[in-house]
Amino acid sequence: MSVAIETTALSDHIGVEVHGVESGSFGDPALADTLSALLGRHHLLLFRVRDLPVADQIAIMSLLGEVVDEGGNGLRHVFVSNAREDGVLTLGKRLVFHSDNVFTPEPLNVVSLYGLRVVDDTAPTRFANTVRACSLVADSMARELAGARALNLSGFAGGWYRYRDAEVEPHHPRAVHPVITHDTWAGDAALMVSEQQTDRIMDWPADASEDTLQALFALLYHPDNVYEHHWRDPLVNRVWVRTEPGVAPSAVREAIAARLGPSHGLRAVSAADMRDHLVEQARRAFAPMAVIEVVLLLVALLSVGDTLAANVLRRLREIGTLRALGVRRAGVVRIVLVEALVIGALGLALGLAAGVLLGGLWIHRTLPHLLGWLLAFHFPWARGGVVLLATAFVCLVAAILPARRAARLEPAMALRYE
Amino acid sequence: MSAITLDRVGKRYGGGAAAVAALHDVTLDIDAGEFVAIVGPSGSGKSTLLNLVAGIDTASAGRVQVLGHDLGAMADDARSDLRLRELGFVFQTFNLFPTFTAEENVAWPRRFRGDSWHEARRRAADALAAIGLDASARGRVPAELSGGEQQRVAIARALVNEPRLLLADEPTGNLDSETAATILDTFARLHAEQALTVLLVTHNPAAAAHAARQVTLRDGRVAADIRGATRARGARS
Repeated sequence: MSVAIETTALSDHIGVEVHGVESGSFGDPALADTLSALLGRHHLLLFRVRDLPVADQIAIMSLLGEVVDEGGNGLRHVFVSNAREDGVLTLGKRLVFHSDNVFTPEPLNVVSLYGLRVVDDTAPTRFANTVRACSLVADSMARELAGARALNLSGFAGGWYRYRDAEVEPHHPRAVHPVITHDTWAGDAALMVSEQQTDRIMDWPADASEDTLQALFALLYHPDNVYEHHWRDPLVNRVWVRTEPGVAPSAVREAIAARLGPSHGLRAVSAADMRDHLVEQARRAFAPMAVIEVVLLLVALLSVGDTLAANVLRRLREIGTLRALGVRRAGVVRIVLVEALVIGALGLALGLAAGVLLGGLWIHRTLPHLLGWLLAFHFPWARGGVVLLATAFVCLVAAILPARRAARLEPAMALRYE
Repeated sequence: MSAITLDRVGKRYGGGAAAVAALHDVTLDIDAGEFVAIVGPSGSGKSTLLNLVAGIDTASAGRVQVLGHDLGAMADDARSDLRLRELGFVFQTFNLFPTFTAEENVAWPRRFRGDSWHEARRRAADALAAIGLDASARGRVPAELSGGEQQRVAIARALVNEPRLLLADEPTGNLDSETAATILDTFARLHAEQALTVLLVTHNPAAAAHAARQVTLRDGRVAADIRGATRARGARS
């Protein structure tokens, strides 16, 4: 009996992600055949399940065979950690390729790893396809390796270098296994050597042994033969899905949310929803700008008023001359108002240039980095019109007092001003 | 026909005990086409009298009549219009607009009258030519002109609206004697050629000698009013 589940390839030659198995259903005996078949075909199965209890891990492994008590404490699981005191790794070191328990008389048939606590910059775990690597061994070498056996050993001193028979103390476990064995699940020929734990091919000359092992390692650990699993991949935090013409985005969104949402912690939204969300966020972020704008207008009011008042004081004699030449009081008022509008226009031009420049930088540089979106530059003409009118209004209001003062000057007195 | 009539005119500044009287009971009648110099020491009231005639100051007592208009009865705008159309004003310190060229300074009064900027510039060029300013100086700003050139520009500005009355307040006060003589000759020529009424305020007797009539003020009162022959044109003051 098998269970209908779906898979997605993790890489070209090893591993699939299994969809449709939720936490709590791992103990279902109907899964056993399905998982065995998948392991035989793909050699690595990935389940994305959040907060998976140890009991569930043990339950699913129990479907595939007896779960060993490697730690010897009855827990039937160990911590592989460079952070926990009871972890087996040395802080800050990087593991090299290995096969778990290949240094024992009965190597493990399958290993379950679960990312219990993963820091942001944690190293990836790499998995190599021993069956495919074996299929790529040259026929002549395959013939030489028929019946060949290799010595595998453990160092128990960290996992970041190759253990060598001559260097590891005699009491550390050692086991001799065929170089080419058979995969547990499909029976295919598979290599049973590893970069970390295989010392030599027994009874071979040292050079021939080492050359052959290095050739096998090259096949095993070639990037095409390896899947690199990132436990918490900071580079991929969103995926865009483009629907085929005629397919309703909402239906696709709901399907993605239903099937992948719970297991991956995904939030599925349409582009329109996302855009609306971002627009709303932008509106909220810029909402305080309204207050700042009012404050800035008040500052502009005071600044323009102060500038004009200073101008009137500085140019009393000029104003007196204008009046002596026959300019009416209203003409003087007009001159001050025009000056105010010129100041406003200059300020507006500077503000416009700075605003367009900063807006352009945001649209073309910053936001694409922040959001991953390319946005079109849009000039807010309506708002620009409002700003234009508000500026003109503020400048004219600011000019009222200086203009009145200039107009009320007695020309004879203004002409005496030095 | 009278161009200017002052009838028992008084002018006081301030009020109460601190009040200062600049003019007392001044009565004066100046005919159209006369060239009159108002002379007197500093503080005698010369400039105050000129300001009252120009309508940029108002009399505390009496009546000031200019070209048939009673200034005391006129609104401020009407006095402004009178200055713009009928009066030219020349100042001791020139009072040119520093950011405009000589031609633009002269063009402004035409613009104030409503001429197009093009027409105003054309009239300004004519006025500057008539006053004898070198053509190359028309495009310069006041800071690039000599004192004599600046005063010529100021005179052209005062005349560009073809006034009937020219008022000049110490127009040679900031000039060397040679330049001053040239400027005063210009006044005399304009007076002769255009039958312009000229009222010249000066404390310099040599400058006053260019006028056919000298009115002397002392302590705000008319101390003397002498009519005599104008000095020959080209005479040095």
